[in-house]
Formats: sequence, C-alpha cells, structure tokens
Amino acid sequence: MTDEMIVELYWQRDERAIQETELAYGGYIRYVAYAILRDESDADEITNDTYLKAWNSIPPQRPQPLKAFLGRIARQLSLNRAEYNTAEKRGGSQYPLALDELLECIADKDAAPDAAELIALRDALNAFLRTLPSDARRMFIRRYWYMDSIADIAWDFAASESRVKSTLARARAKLRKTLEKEGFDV
Amino acid sequence: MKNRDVIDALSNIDFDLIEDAGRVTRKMSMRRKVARWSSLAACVCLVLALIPVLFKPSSPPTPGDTETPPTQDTPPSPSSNGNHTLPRYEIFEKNGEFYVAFDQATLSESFISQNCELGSVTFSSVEEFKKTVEEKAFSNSQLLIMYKAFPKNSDGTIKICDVNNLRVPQLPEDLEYGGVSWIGENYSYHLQSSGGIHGSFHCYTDDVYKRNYIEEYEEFFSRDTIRLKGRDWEEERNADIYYYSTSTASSKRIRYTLHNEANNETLIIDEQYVLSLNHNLLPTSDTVPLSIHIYGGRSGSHFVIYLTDFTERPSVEWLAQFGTELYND
Repeated sequence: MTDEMIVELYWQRDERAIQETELAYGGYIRYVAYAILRDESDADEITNDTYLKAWNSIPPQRPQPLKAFLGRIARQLSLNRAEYNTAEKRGGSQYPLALDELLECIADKDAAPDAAELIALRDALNAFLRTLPSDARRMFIRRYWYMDSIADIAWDFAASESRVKSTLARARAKLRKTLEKEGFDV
Repeated sequence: MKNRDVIDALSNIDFDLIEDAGRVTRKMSMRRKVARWSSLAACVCLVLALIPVLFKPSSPPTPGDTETPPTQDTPPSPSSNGNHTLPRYEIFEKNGEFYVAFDQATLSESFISQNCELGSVTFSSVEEFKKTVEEKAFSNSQLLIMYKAFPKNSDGTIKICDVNNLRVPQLPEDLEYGGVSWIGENYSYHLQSSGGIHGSFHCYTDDVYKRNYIEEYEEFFSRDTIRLKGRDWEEERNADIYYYSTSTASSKRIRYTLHNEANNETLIIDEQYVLSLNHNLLPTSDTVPLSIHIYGGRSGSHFVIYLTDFTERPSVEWLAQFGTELYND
C-alpha cells in the first residue's frame, strides 16, 4: 500500500491505517526507538505511542513521505523517554553521552528558543551537513540522529573507533563555527 | 539555546540525509574500501608501469592508458538554504484580495529541485505571522514551502489570507494556543493544556470549511469502509449515537450541537470512540473519546478544531467555550 493510501485511511478514520502503518514501517519505527533507548520494552512502548500520535495527528496533517513523519515522531518520543530514563538513572542509551558531546557546539543556556529560531537552526543544520564529506556526514547523523554507539558506527563504517571519534570531533568543531557564523548564541 | 535544542532540531533535517546515513552497513563499507584500495593499487601499478615509458623520451603513451578516478560518492542534492538563487516574487492586491506570485523566469532549477517535506509555514506567534506577511520578509525556506506546498490558482498565483482580519481561538481556561501554521488562505494554531489535551484549531475559508464538513461529517457514514450498525440517543446532551464498524474496529460517534453564549454561535460536536479493535495499537474505551472534532463559526470566520489525549469525557460547559475572535495588535 502506498503512503497516500495509508494517509487516506487515517483521514477516513479507518483503523486499518494503524495496521498498514505497522506493516509498512513498524520495523523502522522500532529500530529508531531501540537505537536511542537500547531497551526492548521501552522500544515496544514507544512504537505503540508512535502509532497513537500518528492517529491523532492525521488529520489535519497529510505527511509526505510518511516514513519521515513517523521517524520524527518515534525519535522525539524516544528522546523524551531517554531524558526521563537518564534522570531516573535507567537504561543503556547513548543519549546522555551524545548530549554531552554536543556541549562543544552549543552551550547549555537556559533561554528557550522560539519556533522561528528552531526552524533557523534546522535550516543551518541541513546546510552544514551537506558541506561535510559523505562519511563524516553519515557518521554525524548516525551518532546524533540515530544515537548509535561509537563502536556500532565503527563497525558499520569498517573504521577504527578512534577514526570515528576524530571525525565526529572535527564535525562538531565545524558545526560550532557554522552556528557562530549564522548568529546563534553558542 | 541548549544542546538538547540541536538534538531536537536534528529531528527535522531533510529526510534524504537520514535515509542515506541509515543505509550504511559494514558489508557496504568493506566493499567500498576494497574498491578504493583496488583503485589505488591500480593507480600505483599504472604509475610503475609508466615510469619506463615516461623516461623514454621518444616513445608515445600506450593507447588506452588513462587514470581511473577513485570512486566518488554521489553528493546529496543541494540544500534548502545553500546554493540556490532566490526567485523574485510579488505580493499584489486584486479586487480587495491579496496574492503572491513567483516570477517564473527567475525560478532556478536548484530552487525547484529542493526537497520540501513541510506543508505549511510556521510562526511562533500571530504578531510574527502578521508582520512577516505585511513586510514581505520571507526566508528562503518559507519561500520554498510557499512555492511547493501552498494551493495555487490556475494562473499560478497563491491567495493569501486576510492578514488585517486575523482570527485567534477562544478557548476554555485550561487550554492555550501557540504557534501559527500558515498555508495560503488558511491557517491554524497548535493547542495544548496542562492536563495533557492536545489539538489544533483551524481557521478555514468558507470553501475549505464546507469541503471539510461535508467529507468528514455529513458523508462520513456513506464511505465504503464504514458499516453503520445501529443508532441510539443520549438524553443528557440531546445527542445522536452512531455505532459502526470497519474491517478492524467497532466504534461509535456521539454527535450534538452546543451554543456558545458569548459569540451567539452554534458548535457542532463529533465525539469519536473506539470500542474494540482486532489489534492493540490504539486505546479503546466506551466512556473516554479518542478524539473530538468541533465545527463552528459563520461565513468569513469558520473553524474546525481537532482535540485528542482526553483522560475523561469533557463537559458541555467546557466544550461550549470554543470560538474565535478578531486579533487586535
């Protein structure tokens, strides 16, 4: 079933939308959740929460592609859970480590950004990522979007862990310079 | 700004970047490494083979001797904020209505080919929305969304809403509205409450409201996928209850009207309950609605509200507070 057909089921409030979503993207959603949380039952819960959030968001949204929409929901829910788990000192997520690494790029200041600043940050990140060499870009996204461990990234890229660490460190330094140049308060 | 904001903003980067990174596996990486080393070894052998030739002044190079360039990864498509040329655009008035038109002659291929996954332009407040439209101070990414996602007339122009008569939600005390999402003639607000209720408030033109109302409300039970199984009546709210099923669920809808005393307007309420499912991916309840849709307003100020995440059925007093009013800056 195509994305358009699945989205149409949501708009028709036909509960088959959830089943079709699970068939098409259940594996991907669970992969995103588990990569961040590293816990089977947390990942299962987030997967179900993602379906519910999708059901409650469509309508009025008409996401395209649906996979991107679901991946973002799953990621955001997983990050919220990872934050909670970290506070409760639970779980083996890479989230707190990744968060600490990004302190090099942006200071932990209290002022919350508004929607316009977040959009500007997203645009800056898109532009920055496309300036990176392909492996550096992929490693960066694997570390800070998928929350993969350094060891897993090294394995998939057939590289040493020290090469992955140094690639990420250089990327973070470049990101900091980019954000400073774009006028963000780093 | 916090480091967590970078993590959050990464959630919304272009999806092709996410997919590209996610596809990398050890097997692929090893194959690329072997290919790279093979190319390098081939180059070294070639150079070694050419040394005698290079130091032999009168010998011409052997035909077919060309250096094989190393394998390159295909670079991803241009960014939404990088190398493209901004198109020229104009906001003009025609018969009292405002339109935006892109100069087709200045639309660059790189601008047209960019990815755009968002269907609306978001502002953090009504003030910012109004100011941006009035000052025509759009960013690159906003223009891209307008070009790619906003509904267009047959002549390619985009009708924009009447920013001098913007409407804002009237809500129960425990709900508040945040950012504004804009798509041409229509715009919407995100709703949330401290009690966990979420939703969206859509200010529609008469045409869009009518289409929405007919498709989602009036003709809902005419759909091929819906089997109406029975009807009942709830005295307390003078409501019609519809029991229906789809191939995966048994559900009910409770429909009634309320009167907003403050605005002297009628609200049409549509409560949706999922009673049972052949999977466990949605919560089921006979007493707590999964979602509530509200249709209201009058000509020039119609709205549709979608509400979810209830922990109990809201009272009629709570629901009757929804409406709109003019924004005063």
